[in-house]
Amino acid sequence: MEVQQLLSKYMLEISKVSDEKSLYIALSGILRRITDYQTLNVISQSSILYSEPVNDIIDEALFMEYLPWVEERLYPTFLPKDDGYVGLIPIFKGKKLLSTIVLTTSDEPTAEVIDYLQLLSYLSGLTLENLRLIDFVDKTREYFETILNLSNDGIIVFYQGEIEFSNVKGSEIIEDYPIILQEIEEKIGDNETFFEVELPNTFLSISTKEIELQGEPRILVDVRNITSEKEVEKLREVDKIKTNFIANVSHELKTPLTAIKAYTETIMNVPMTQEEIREFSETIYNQSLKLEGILNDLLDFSQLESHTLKILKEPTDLCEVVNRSILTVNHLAVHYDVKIEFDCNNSIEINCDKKRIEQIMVNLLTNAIKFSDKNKKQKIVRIEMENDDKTVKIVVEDNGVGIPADKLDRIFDKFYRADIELTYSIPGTGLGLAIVKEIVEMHNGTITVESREGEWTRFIVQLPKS
Amino acid sequence: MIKELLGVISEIPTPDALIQQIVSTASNPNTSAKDLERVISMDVGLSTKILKLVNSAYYGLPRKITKLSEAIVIVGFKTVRNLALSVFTYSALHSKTTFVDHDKLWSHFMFTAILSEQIAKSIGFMNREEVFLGGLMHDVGKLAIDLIFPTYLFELSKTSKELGIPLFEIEHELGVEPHNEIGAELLGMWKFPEEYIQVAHLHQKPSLNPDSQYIEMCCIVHLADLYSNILLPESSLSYGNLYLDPMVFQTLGIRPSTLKVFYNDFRQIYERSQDLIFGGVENETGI
Repeated sequence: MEVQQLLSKYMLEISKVSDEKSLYIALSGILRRITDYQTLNVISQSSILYSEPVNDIIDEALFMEYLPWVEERLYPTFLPKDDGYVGLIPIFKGKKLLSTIVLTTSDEPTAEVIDYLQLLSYLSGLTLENLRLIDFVDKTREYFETILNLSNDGIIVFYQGEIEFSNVKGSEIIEDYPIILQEIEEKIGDNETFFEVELPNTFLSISTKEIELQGEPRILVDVRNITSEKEVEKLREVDKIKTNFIANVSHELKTPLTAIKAYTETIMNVPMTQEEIREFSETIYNQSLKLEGILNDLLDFSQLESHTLKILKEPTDLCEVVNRSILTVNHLAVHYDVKIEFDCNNSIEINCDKKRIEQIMVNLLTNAIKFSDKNKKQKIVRIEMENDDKTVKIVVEDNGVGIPADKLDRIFDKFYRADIELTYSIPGTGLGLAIVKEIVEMHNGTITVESREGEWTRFIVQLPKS
Repeated sequence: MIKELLGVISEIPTPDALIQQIVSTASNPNTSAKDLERVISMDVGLSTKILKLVNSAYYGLPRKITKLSEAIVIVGFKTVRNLALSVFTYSALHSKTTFVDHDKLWSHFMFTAILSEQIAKSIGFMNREEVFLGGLMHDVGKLAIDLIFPTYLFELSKTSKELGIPLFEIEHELGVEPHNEIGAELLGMWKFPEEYIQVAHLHQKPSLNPDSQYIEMCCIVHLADLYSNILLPESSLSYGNLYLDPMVFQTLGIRPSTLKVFYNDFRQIYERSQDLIFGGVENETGI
C-alpha cells in the first residue's frame, strides 16, 4: 500500500479545508483506499454528519452496543459480522471526542490498517478541533461585535494609522464628521488621551488608549456625542445668568427711583427757594432719563427676542450720527473724566437706521466710559472711521480696564457681564452689547472685539454701505 | 557485576520462542488477525489467559469476547501483544519463590502499565500500547536482581523500609548497579526495541538524559510509576519519599494542577482494574 503517499495527500488536503464537511470528504477519500469500505457514516451525538454514498445509513443495531465503549476508549475497533466488519473510528483531540466514523467493509483489518487508522483519527481530530475553534472564534467575534454595536459610543481602533475596526456608531460619526479623524490623529501625536472636539452644533468627547494585539500596538478610540449634555450645561448657565439679570435690573431700576422719590419728597415737605426747586427738579429729570434708558433697553430687548424690532433704513451721514452720540454721552464722559476723540474728515453716507446706529454708538461709548481705568492719568476713548467702496468700519477704542481673554467670546451673550458677580461697581443691565450685536447684524454688518486686560479694548463695527 | 551475570544465569527466564514470535507477528504491518491468532493458539493456555484479561473489567467491553480473532480486531493487535507479554511477565515473576512478595511486585508492574496508558490517553500521546508495555517492563530490573540474588533485593527493600529512603537512593549511595540499569540491560538481551530499554533506564529520573529520543515515553512511565506508588504503596518494594522529575511538566505539557485531576481519575481507574492488577492470571499454568 502506498500509504506514505496517501498520507501526504491527506495532510495537504486537510491543511486546506475550511469546514467540517470538506474534512470528512477528504477523510472518506483516504479511508476508502485504506479499508475499501462499502458505506461510511460520520456520526456525532447520534446524528449523521456525513455519509458516503449519500444517504446510505449503516444499521445502528450493528454497532450501537460498542459505540459508547469506543468513544470512551478512543481507539479504532472492528466488529466482526457475518459478511465482514463494522469499523468504528473515533475522531478526537486529547480526551475530547469530536465525532465517530462508522464504516462497513468486507476486508479484514491488518495491524497496519489499525495503525494508520489510529494516526488518521489523531490527525483529523487536530484539524477538526482547529476548525471548530476557528468557527468558535468567528462566532465569538460576531457576538462581541453585536455587543459593541449596541453601544452609544463610537468605538474605533486604529492600526498603523488606518481604521482597523469601528462599531456602527463609530462609522456613523466618521461619516458625519470626517474632520474628527484629523483631530484624533493630531491629539494622538500630542499624547493627549482625553479631549473634546467642538464642531458646529456638535460636541464630541474623545478618549484614546493604547492597546496591543499579538504585540502589535493599536489605538483604541472612544467617541461620545456630548452635544445634549453641553446644551443642558448651557441652559443651566443661562438660567443662572437670568437670575442674576433680574437682581441686576431691579437694582438698576431702584437707584434712580430712590433718588426721584427722595428729591420729590423734599420738594413737597420742605420750603424751598425757586432756585433750589429747579436744581432738585433737574436731578429728578436726569434720574428719570436714566430710568427711561433702562426701560428702553428692556423694551428693545423684548422686541429683539420676539423678532418685532424693525429697521428703518435711510441715507445717513455717519459723522453726524457719531457726533450726536458723543453729545449724548458727554455728561457721563465729564463725570468719569474721559476724553472722547473723534475727527470726522469727510462725511460718509450709508443706508441705515439712523436712530439705531446712534443707539449702537451711545452704547459702545457708554461702555468705554464706564469701564475706563481710574488709575490711568489720561482716560481716552477714540473713534475712527474708515471706508471703502462697499463697507464702512467704525472702531471704538479705549484705554480702559480691558476684558479678560477668556471672557471675550461671551460678552455679546444676552445678560452677560464680564464682572458676572453682582458687585454693582459699574451699573448696567448686561443687555447693551447683545442689543448692539443684534442691530449690527440686522444691518448685515459684523461686530468684533479685541482687548488686552488692563490696557485697552477695541470694538470694530463693519457695516455695508447700501 | 549483576549485568555480566544476566546472560549466564539460568534462573532468569527468557521470553521463549513463542512470545518472541507473538511480538514479531504483532509488529509486522501485514499481519492479519488470523495470523496472530494462529501463533497465540499454539499455546492453548495462553489464548485462555489473554481472553480472560481482555474480558476484565479494565477493558470494559460491552459483551464477552470468546474468540481470539475477535479480540484482536476489537481491542487491537498491540493490546493483545501487550497482554501476551503480561502473561509472560507474570509467569517470570512467579517462576521462583523468594523472600519478596511477587504478587505485590506484579501489581506494581501492571498498575504502572495501566496508568502509563491512561496518561498517554489524557495528554493525547498516540502510541498508547507502546507506553503500556514500557510501564509493564520498567521495573524488570528488580525481577532480575531477585532471581539472581534473592536475599539482596529483600535486604534492599527492608533497608528502604527501615530508613524510609527510596530503593533507588540506597542503590546510589551504595554505589551498586541500580535496578534501572539492570532492567535496561535485560530488555536489551531480550531484543526489546530501544524505546523500552530507554524507559527502563530513565524511569526513575528522565532528566538524566533529556535528549533521549523517547523522552515522552520515559516521562509518562515516570509519572505513572509515581502514581502507582501513591495508590499502591509498598508494591514496588521501595519506601520513603517519592521523587517527581520536574521535567515531566514541560515534556508532557501538563500543569501542576493536572496532577490533582490525574489523582482523582486514577483512583477510579484503580477500582476498575482490580482484577487485572491482583492475580489476573493466577493458578494458570505458566509458560
